[in-house]
Amino acid sequence: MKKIILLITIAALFYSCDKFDDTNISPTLLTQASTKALLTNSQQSLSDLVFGNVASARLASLYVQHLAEGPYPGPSLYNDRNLSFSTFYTGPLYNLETIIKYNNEGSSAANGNGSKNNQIAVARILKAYFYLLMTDKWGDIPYTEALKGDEAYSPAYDKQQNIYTSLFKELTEAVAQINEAEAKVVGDVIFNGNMASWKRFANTIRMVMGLRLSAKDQAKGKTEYTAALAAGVISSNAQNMSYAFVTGDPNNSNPWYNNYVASNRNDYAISKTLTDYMEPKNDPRLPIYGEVLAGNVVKGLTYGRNVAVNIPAAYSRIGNYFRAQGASMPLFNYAQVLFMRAEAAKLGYEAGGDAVAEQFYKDAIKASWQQYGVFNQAAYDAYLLLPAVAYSAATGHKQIMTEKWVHMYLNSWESWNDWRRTGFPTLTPAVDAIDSRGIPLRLGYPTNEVALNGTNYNAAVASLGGTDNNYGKMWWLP
Amino acid sequence: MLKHIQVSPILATFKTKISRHMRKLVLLVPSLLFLLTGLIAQKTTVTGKVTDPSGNPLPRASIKEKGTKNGTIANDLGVFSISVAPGAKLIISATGHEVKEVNAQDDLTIQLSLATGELTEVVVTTALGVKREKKALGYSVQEIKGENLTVAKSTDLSSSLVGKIAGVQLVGSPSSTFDNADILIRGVTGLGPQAPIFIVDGTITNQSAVIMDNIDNVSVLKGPAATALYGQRASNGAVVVTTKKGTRKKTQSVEVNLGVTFENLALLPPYQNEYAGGYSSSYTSTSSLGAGYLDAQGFYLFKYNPAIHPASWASFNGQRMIEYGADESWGPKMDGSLYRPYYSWYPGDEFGKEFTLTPQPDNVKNFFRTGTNLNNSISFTSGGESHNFRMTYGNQDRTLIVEEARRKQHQFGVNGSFDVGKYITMSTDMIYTTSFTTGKPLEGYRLDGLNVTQNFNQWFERQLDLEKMKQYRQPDGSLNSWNIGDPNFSSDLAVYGRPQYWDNPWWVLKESYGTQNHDRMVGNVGMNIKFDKHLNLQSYVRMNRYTNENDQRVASGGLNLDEFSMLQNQYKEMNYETNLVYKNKFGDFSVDGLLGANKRREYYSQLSMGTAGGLSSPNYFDIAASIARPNVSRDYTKKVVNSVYGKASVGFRDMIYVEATIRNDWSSSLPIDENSYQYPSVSTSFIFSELLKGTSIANVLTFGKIRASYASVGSDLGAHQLDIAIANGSFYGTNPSVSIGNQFRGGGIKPALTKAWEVGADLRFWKRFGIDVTVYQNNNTDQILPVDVSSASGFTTAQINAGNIVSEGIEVSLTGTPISTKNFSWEVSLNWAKNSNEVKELAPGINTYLYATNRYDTRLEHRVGGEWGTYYGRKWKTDGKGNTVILSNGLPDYDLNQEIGQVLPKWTGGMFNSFRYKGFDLTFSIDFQNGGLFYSETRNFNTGSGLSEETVGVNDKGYDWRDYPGSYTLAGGNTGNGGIRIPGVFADGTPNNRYIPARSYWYTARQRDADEVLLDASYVKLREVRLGYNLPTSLMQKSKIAKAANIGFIVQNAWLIWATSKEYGIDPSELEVFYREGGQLSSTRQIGFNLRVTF
Repeated sequence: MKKIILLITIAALFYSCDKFDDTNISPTLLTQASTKALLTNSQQSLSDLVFGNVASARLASLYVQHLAEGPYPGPSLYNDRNLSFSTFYTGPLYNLETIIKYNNEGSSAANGNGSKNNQIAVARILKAYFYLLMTDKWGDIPYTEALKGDEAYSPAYDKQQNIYTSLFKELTEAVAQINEAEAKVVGDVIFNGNMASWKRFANTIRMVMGLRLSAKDQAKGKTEYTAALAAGVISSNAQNMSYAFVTGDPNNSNPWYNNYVASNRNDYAISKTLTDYMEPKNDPRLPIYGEVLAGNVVKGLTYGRNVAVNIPAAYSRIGNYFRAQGASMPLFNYAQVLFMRAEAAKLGYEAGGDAVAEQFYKDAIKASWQQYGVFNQAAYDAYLLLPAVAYSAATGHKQIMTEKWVHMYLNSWESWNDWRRTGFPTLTPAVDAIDSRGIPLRLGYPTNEVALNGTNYNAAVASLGGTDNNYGKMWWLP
Repeated sequence: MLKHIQVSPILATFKTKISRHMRKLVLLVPSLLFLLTGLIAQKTTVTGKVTDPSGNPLPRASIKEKGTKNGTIANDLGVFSISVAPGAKLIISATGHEVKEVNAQDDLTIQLSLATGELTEVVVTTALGVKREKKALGYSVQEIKGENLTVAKSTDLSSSLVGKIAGVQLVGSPSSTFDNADILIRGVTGLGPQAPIFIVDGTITNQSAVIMDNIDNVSVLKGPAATALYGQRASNGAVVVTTKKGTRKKTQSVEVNLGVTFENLALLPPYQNEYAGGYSSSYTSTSSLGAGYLDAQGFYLFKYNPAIHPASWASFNGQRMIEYGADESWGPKMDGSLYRPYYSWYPGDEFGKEFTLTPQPDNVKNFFRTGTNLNNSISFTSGGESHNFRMTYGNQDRTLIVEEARRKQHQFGVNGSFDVGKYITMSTDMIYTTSFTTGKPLEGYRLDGLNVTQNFNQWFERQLDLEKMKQYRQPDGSLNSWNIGDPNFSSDLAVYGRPQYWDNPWWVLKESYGTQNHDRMVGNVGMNIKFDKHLNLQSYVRMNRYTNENDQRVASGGLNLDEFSMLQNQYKEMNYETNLVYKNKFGDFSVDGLLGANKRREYYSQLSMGTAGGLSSPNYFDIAASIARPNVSRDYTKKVVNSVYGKASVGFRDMIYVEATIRNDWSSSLPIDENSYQYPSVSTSFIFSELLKGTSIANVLTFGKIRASYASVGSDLGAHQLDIAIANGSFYGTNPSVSIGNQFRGGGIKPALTKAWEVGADLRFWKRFGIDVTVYQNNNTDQILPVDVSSASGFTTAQINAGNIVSEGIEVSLTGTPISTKNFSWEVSLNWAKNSNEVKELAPGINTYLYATNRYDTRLEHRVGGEWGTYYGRKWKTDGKGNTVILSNGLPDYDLNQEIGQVLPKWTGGMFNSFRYKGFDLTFSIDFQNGGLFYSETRNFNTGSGLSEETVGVNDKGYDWRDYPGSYTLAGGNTGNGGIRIPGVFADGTPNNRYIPARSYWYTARQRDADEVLLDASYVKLREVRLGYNLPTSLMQKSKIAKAANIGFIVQNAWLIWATSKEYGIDPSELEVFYREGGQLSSTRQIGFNLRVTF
């Protein structure tokens, strides 16, 4: 019997009746997200969302025929639609929203990461930038009710016009909120906390948006454009804004490098549409844009054929300037601003008419050559004399937009926006297009919105004319 | 000339390997025999065999020397051996049979007749390992004996259960890899399919922990009523494994179970053997590069260009090539013409030479070798009045049909118990498993080229001689590949020799492989205090623990950046369990009760590391070789669940039984104010045949029972899932990067609840045939679901309690002994089950859950009001009159989002047969499934890239459809004769007159019809076969070596008799995942021998 008692005691010991306490708190998971780390992460997502790490982001390079597809033609034949916008909302937008929330709440997560004003202003500017990228693709999108978690699992869609109005306001207010005397933001891998640069960035976005309204609401567009220009935009190549990738860091590699080198994909070559324009003009940027092949040629691949071809050695991939592991990708640059000003003069946003437009146009080309490091005065002079290049009032708008398209190589979303707004450059749709309506005018909404946000989705589609496809007419389109 | 008949190297390798294994085997057996005979030789030994009336062996029959305490137990073959005094009498007894007394003499065969009231004492293992008479149960439990489970020495428990237990669906794993399959019992309960739990001697563990030869029986608990006492983790069923124990009889025995099988490829997709690699021959008359690059037969031509090529290449001008860089087979006919194969572009003797282009019909088949599997075990059993003991050692050494793939596994098992004084019994069951695996084939659709089967079936050139490729390094040490670039545009080997998509498959297998080091320990130490005849206190400490160390190499020099990654994880689960068990009889009433408590602690930690940016030295496979900051992540969870539970069962005159259980859990992973949840069950059984006793009906209906039960089971969620997660991003320089997780979690989560009822009947006729039917319904409500929400909310999913998924079905199991004579018997059992799962409700405002998206927007969704797991995808558009609508480019128009069908099968089942004729026995099992769909990437690209024999043919004009269709105008039609015209009409109603290139049809047009990529998962399979022979007892006796021996010829995964997808080379019972395959590994068959000897 003694033994029994002993054993029962031992058994009872197994049942030390403790409470759960912190059992459910993981020692390895973060409980608080530092605002500086959220900012870095939001900026890193530019790589995926803008510059082309995912298939969706490469669409524009194909739509404006900067690139052509090799073995598996798809998007260049206009087959893609209904791309997801979830990475925008759940990624940088929610992170930036959290930065604003933490600062407003006085959370310790924001401590030491810059003054409250500067942190909020930077988050607002970046949010506005991402929202602009989105509305220019899809048109009406959730905005006012977005990013509210369980308060709105099915947020309403806002009109593009209202989104533009709100973004103008956000950018203006954010610039005013920046206080250069206060502590600069931390975790900023684009401008390294330079608050003057953030002002310039915001003003440049506002300038782009103002010009975007040229076909729809010139009055509003001109007002905003003029105000932005006055507030200070990029005024030299030294002020060019780009996102830098890191040589030797596979997690921060240029997305084209990832595609060509890390993933060994050779799906894209420079488009023959572009090389056919540049080659006869002896454009010195061509060997920068495209890979130089044996025989010292840059060979473009015919755009829009439904024929599988292998690219390596046969056609020029994009140039090393764009696809080196640490190659930067442009946000905004001086030549782009000059092209905008040329167009603005041509359209009457700025004073001076064709004469001023021509000067800006020439300066833009020069700035572009300088930016790519191929400027040579004699070649530049000769280039400007070429009949297709020499500015003429009658074809000025087309010339400005065509040269801008050449300059904006691989900064293709902006080129697509320009093409949709002005119809320039003149592009021939893919010969073997799957969709006979040609180059898409917008992106279809993500398919799962039908199931997950049906009522609001249907309302948005109704305002597009009832069909959700790549050809619906969003507000700012002419 | 290309000489490709060089079989010998592979064959030679097999031969040496086989003979090496055979030598081991030959050495092993006699030495064991020698060793053991000495140990156990006795003076006055009587051996014999106990059989049932049909002559089948009766395992575990009890043999006693009359008038003494001396006794033994027959082994699984019914064979026993006992030392007795001369002239003694033996008393033989076995469950369900009449007791028999015989004179002790050697070489006895004792046939026991069935006891009256047969089958009434069938005992099965129920929840918590409680043995119950089956007739008392108010729910369905199906049991299978160890020997019927491992007919062909299968190493996989899950696939051994299929077809033998009604309601078990195999969700497969390729037979040509080492993985265990998974099963589903009674369909699904949540948004995703959940496997049942596996319990070995009372401890929850993984099926890989089981020593297959050591299984005494497996009991499958299907519904919540059966598993209610196990609690939440068993809500998808429980597979309860009881291992063989020693007995409390004074006996010693040794069992040896040896198996050797040879594994060979059983199924491949149907390849075409007419056309070589290339993209373009059917597309155009001229290459897209311009005129002169393609000749009339579709060969790609070399064009000498002095600006690119050296003068010595001038003579190559006009030579025929293949589009080497294409990994598709839309090239020229393999008609014996001379051409430049890829290897003629590598420096050496063959450089610049032309060879004939001939078909290689067996290139893929010959790439695979014969695998061998040595699967041996030995166990020692000993017993005595106050102890029993069994010790097992199992050893497996298996090589697969691909090079380098090998797994070595050792298993050690110990079971035993001994009495400490009069009241206390201590017991233990332990299994330790250790395995080391190298080169496990990687499956799925991979872009890193590490799945070579995907290469052959989806992206390949049919003219390739794989034997030729075996020498994967050039004399200078550099690698070669068939998938080189284009010598037309470069003369630099470093440029044109660089593979486009694929490295040499031999190199991939030899150098880019992974290893797995796995250790698992499962076991318990228990104590039973017997207060009196009726009351026991049982207490156990249980442990289930594993550690893994896995790594993967991507070797240097290939297409992909070299890399080394490793994953280390460990899991430990401790359970402290104490039960008070009471059992008594009061007059007509029997009472059976249990009160218990359990504390479970789970701990998991994981460390994964991978090099980034390449390796510092070629093939330096270590984390330290990482050129950039290595990627490291750690995972850690901890969880505690406390439980109390109880059970009470009352029986009346062995006729009516009522049982109730209740369990309460407290889980640390739930919110503190919602962490307690309770769930009851109640069940009843009525043996109505008791009322028929003495009537004439009883002669036919020898046993009849109906049963009914109701139960609910609650469950929690994983650890650390109550707050919104914060995810680590990659550092940018020294800047940390984090983002807010994508699942909204607002707290307030309640435990989920499954409610279920079932009714059933168990009938036996003429003591020979039985039928068991169960009808059930499960209501899965308040599930803790990650429901999809509009991503504009900032989150893609939200964690909520919601939903109602109803699964219902019927299970039928037939058993019988149609023939039973002394020399010949036939036993058969048939299982069949039908299950359906309806999604009644997800969450307010949410009617769709997207489970998965495959290529071409082929989506697997759960939609409210529909069947769980319905496939939606593209369909060719029709004009309402049944005509396909064709676009002006000749391709079909299509509609998105069309319902295709259900992913889960309509019904499943199987048949188990066992024949005995004198010393011979023949056993086989068949399983089948009707319905279900899976997405097949293999089928998609096997046709899309022109590899399949389906892609060879003539069009409706009688011309080879791979020929160029020419240019086209609406009025004039096509100028050429080739191409394929899809029957249909243009939008304006006029008939389609446009022929499109064969590749456009097979690659593009067919992608617009989900029926082409969603295949029917129905199948019938002969899974295992065993033809055995029992060596005569007399012979055994004379040789004085062993008591019994059986030698068998075995076949595993014997024959896929029928499947819709068989003609496409896919075995639907072996899919990568239940709903798709992205690069299915091949199916294999194992044939070999099995020797079981008892000493």
